Amino acid sequence: MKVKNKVTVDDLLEGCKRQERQSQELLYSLLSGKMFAVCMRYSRDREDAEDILQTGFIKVFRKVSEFKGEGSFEGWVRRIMVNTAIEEYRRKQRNILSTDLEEGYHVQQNTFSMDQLETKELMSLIQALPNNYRMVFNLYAIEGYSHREIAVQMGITEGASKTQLSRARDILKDKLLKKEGLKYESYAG
Amino acid sequence: MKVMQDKDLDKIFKDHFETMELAPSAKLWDNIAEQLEAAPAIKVRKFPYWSAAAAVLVGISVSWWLLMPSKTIRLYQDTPSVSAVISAQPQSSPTANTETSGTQQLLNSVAQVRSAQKVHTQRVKQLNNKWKESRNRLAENIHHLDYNEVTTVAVTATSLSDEPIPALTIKQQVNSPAVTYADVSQKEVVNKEIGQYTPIRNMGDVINFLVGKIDKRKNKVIHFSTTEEGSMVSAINIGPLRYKTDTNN
Repeated sequence: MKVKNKVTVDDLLEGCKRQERQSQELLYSLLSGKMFAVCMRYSRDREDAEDILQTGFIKVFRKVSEFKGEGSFEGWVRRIMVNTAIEEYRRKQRNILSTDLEEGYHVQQNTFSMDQLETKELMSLIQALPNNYRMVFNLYAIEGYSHREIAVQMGITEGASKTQLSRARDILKDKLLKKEGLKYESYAG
Repeated sequence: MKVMQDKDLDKIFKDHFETMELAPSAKLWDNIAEQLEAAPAIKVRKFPYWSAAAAVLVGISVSWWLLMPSKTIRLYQDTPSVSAVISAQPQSSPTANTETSGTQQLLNSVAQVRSAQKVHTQRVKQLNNKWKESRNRLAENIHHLDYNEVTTVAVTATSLSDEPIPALTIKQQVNSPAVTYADVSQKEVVNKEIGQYTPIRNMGDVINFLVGKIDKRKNKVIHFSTTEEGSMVSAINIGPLRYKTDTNN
């Protein structure tokens, strides 16, 4: 246990490049918690998130020799998880018709307190978003992608990306207000 | 109470999620490890494609090698006029010099065979002359004998006529020593010079033909000769291991 505690993600890189199973397992144990949280944000439920996590780690172990040390190894693993989530979204888009929820959300500007919001509650809110809204909100608000990058990754226009982000924000604000049990006030504009 | 801006909303989610950790199912690593174990099988699957490509490449190379024009054609080109042209070019490469000396050897061998033929042609003429003289003397003897001796003389003439005097028989006798003078390789040279090839009579000749297509050296890697007992190995030339038997046929 002593040795395991001292091991960092970067220390495991060489072992993973040599395809050593012990190094791979240690890397998984170190990063699976953070990466599963990322996958959960991009998924509707836990099952989908685990599928993304498993596919993502397989990619990490198979492509680890391509990591050139530009940036942190953890950041590289995280990008692979996000890209895997995007690929999974696009694959599902080809197979099923996504729910069109682009109308009916005319939410006013709201005021509310965020003091008692828990992270898990935020997770449930974001998972309840329509797939395309959730993808755009995650990529823009949390990963820091531009609308141009989102458009390329998701195969949509920049205008669609902006529209979907706006709708996602409106839904989240609305649900946050309801969750807090606060009465919202409507403001002009 | 305050108005929530877009950037404030984004910050709330970003701050909460940045350090968030959630434990996946315990069995997930087992699934990943199992999938990684199956990975080498993909590499194994790729191997037959490479081996198949290599086999096709080798097959094409061997076919091209076997079907390319044989250098034995040069035997017809290496006439004295051609070799004179080659020797008249001082800038010829070492390979050309080697070929010229080989041609010279070939011409010498042909000249030897021709001189042997000349000797035996003269011998044929001499034998013909002797036969004519014997015939004339016999005719004169018959002319001087009386009738009672005719039977005896006829018997003598018959026995004389049984001697191998016909021109065809003499020719065969003359030709066979000529063949005896030349060794096996010289025989092949003569055959090729007059545009003939060794007939394929047995498996040894088939192997000789195939080896001759591949091995252009004078002493082939293996050579079979046909004897009365059948086809048998008469020469082997594998690096330091050399074996050669003159069978003269």
